[in-house]
Amino acid sequence: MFMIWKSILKRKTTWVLVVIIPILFGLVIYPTIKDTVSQVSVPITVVDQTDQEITDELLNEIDEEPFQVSRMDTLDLRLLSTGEAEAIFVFNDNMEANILSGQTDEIITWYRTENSYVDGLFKEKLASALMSRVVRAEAASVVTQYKPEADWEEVYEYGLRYFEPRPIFEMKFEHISGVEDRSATVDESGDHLLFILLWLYISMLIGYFTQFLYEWRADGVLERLQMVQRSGRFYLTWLIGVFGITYSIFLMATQLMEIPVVKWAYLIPFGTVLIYFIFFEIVKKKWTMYAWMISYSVASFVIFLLADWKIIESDWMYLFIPTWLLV
Amino acid sequence: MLQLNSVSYQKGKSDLIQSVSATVQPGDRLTIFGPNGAGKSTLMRLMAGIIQPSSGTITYDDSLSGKNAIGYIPQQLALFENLTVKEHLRFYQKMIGSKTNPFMNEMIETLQLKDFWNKRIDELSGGMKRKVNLTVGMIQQPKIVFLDEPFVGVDLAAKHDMLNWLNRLNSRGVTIVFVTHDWQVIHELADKMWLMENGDLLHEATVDEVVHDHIELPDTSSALQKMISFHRY
Ligand SMILES: Nc1ncnc2c1ncn2[C@@H]1O[C@H](COP(=O)(O)OP(=O)(O)OP(=O)(O)O)[C@@H](O)[C@H]1O
Ligand SMILES: [Mg+2]
Repeated sequence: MFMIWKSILKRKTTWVLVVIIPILFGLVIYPTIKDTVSQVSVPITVVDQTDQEITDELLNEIDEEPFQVSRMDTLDLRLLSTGEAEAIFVFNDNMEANILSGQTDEIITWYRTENSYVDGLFKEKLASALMSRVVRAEAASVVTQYKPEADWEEVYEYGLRYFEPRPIFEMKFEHISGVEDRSATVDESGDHLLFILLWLYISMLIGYFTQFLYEWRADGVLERLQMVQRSGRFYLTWLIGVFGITYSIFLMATQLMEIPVVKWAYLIPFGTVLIYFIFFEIVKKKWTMYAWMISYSVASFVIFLLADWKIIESDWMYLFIPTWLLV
Repeated sequence: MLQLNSVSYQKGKSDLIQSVSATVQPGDRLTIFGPNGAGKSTLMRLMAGIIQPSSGTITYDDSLSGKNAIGYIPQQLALFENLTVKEHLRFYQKMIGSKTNPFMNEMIETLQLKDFWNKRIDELSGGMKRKVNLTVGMIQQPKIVFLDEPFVGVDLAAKHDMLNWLNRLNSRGVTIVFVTHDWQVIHELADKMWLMENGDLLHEATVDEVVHDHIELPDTSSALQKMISFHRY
């Protein structure tokens, strides 16, 4: 029975699909997706009702990779629940004046949710940018108080040389709770995109192997096998081979991409192979089967992403096999 | 040894076989004769047990109850495109669970398969493929064999060898049922004829009776009638 696999493996297409494509994926597509995902991963919203100059200054100073900062002039907390903002920082009016006079209470309000993880880093950067200004202002004030002839501006510019920075301001921390749970964290949603691509690939691969069953049925090979022996063993050989290949790829890929696979998720390749096999049994025409399976795969892709974003949360979504990852 | 009792076969709404009753006797050399689409292949597949009748029954006697008693050589070439002749034979030999197979060696010899032993099926000529198709279908040394147009594209010398060999098998007791559109093959390989048209088994007769106009068909202008008249040419 190994012969049927010999026949399959003798085809170049098989090697392209099973070996070349995963390698290409690993070398080209995977790093690209990983990068893009981490680049756009932390959306931060800054609200400044009076559009102050100091806001520009501060934001320019902390304009760095993982954050995607958008500026608004009104506070909209819904952004937190929809996930459009990981956190919202509200810059109060007269911020510059407050900083220069050493008035550091409540100059910024910080809104976040239970699911905000990396916004703390943004807070740190913002804090250090603010702190250097506060420290220099205080230094200048102290110096000019005792040495009236000193130039305030000059001392302010060089203030950092005389004073060790210390945490002298605190931000008011306001925790917004009761916000919809977005368990898709920054890293995970990127992994999930990779996962659904992996599943689409596996699904296509199984479709390719199913094509042989159709071919052999059309050629009469299956009938012939039925004559000399039960075709059961033939199907078993096919199934074992397909399970072997899909599970190897699935387990290796999820390991490499560090996608956590738990309980039900282990059944994903199994379920996908089974669905193709059932289709083979009930759908007589190859192209009809492909039409169904392409529709199913596309639907699964969409449903998986919607389920991942918690837009769909009903049980029927588990009809679409990749969602088993989310159980 | 094989009996058809009012066997019908439907596919969708159309009746491909309409209430056929007939018997195949041990050692028969029988040909099923009729125009394209008459239902010859369908009837052979029913008798070989590949498809089941929609109504009626087919009964086999004890000699055909064994696992490998029935051989079937399909009209299509049911072969793995990219496996070699050798791989095919080894594969099917394993399937039937035999190690040494003098019968298979005899076939290999007769059909001279060694000439293209290590070639892939898609590298063979049409006639060569037919030979492999025949060998694979009979590898289990059946008691009765159904051959669906086995000689299409086979050259005259090879056809001669194959016919001789099948007749030799028959003299050893193997029952032969076949379909062909080739009168020469009928003359050399058949004693009995089943005349079929439109899914009906119209007549059972000996080849001699058919050739000497001892039968009467209901429709004298039919395609079947014309085909019969070609035996002289
Ligand atoms: N899978 C199928 N589905 C529906 N109809 C079919 C199918 N296979 C065959 N037929 C129809 O059944 C009838 C008999 O077909 P069959 O293949 O038995 O004819 P045949 O006598 O062997 O013809 P030929 O000499 O061309 O081989 C034909 O009319 C054909 O159109
Ligand atoms: Mg036919």
